[in-house]
Amino acid sequence: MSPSTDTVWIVVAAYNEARVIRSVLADLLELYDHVLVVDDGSQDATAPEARSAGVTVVEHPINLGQGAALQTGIEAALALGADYVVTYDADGQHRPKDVEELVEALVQADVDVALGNRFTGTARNMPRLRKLILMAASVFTELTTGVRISDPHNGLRAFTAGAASRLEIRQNRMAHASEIIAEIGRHDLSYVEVPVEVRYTDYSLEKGQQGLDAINVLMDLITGKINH
Amino acid sequence: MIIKLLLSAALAIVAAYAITQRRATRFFHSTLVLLTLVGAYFVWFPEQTTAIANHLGVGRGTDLLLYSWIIISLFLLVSLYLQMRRQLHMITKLARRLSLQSLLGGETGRAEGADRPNESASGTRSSPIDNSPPGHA
Repeated sequence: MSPSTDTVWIVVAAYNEARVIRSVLADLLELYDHVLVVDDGSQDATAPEARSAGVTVVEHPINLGQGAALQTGIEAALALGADYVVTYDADGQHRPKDVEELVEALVQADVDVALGNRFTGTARNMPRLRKLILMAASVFTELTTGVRISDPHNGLRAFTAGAASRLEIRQNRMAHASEIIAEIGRHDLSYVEVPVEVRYTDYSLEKGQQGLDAINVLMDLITGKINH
Repeated sequence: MIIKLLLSAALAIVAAYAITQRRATRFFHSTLVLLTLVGAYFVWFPEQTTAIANHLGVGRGTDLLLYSWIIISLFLLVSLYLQMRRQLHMITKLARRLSLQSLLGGETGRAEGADRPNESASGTRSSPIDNSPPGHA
């Protein structure tokens, strides 16, 4: 595989992000050509805003959740010929430069998955409670999946096409983050953690996961295990 | 006495409904009829519940009924919850198929075993509506 000609598709799952989606996409488009936005049944102008930025848009007919949106985006990106698939948040918490870091790491380390890690990277303005919850999530994820990831809820992830095609994200909502880690364990995929920057703006904090979501995530994972 | 008549009437209605719905419900309806018969038996011979209860080490028949009800309810709740999850998964697959068809026009990329899209045009094959559970987990 030659890094310079390989196609990188960036998948952005978005729900009601009309306010910021265009500027997030504009930043990405400075570095990358292939961006796919999955509009997860937004009630606002997310889809038209994304289209006017010039990216490919897939719309869910109903709101299914971020996990479902990522799965749809990954399948679409693979169908469109991606060699690498990168997931990226729609709310402006990530930096486009970090996409380069992730893909570079995939190639250099010759692994299946590169996972963004804000704890070895930079986490600007992170609320203390959020940090505690995330660290607890890391421990919980290790207990349930056997895979030790420092920042399992980081939305910045890169996959080779081969790895991406084996992913089966069945958790529609917030438990998808732990499920992706579980999938890495299940398929025995090789991975590397890469320091990245996560910026907490007032906008993203408004929209971020609340403490109670942690309980919902726990329930989803437990019953998810019953189902499988 | 009045309560026995009221309960018997209620059970009879449930049994009648189950029997009329037998085509829609496979064997659920016969289980239900069986349950109404068992229920009717205990309505008319409530002393029997105490006999059975004592046999099992429970003080009163009503206590036994309560325990049984709790266990049955738990099973039912778990079963319903799992069913809901399966349905959510089916809805998700459906919605995803729609989204991807819009984007990719006819090709949806990923084959998922039983869910592989029918590649010939819809008019050439008639598929019966299939209510059986999906082939894979």
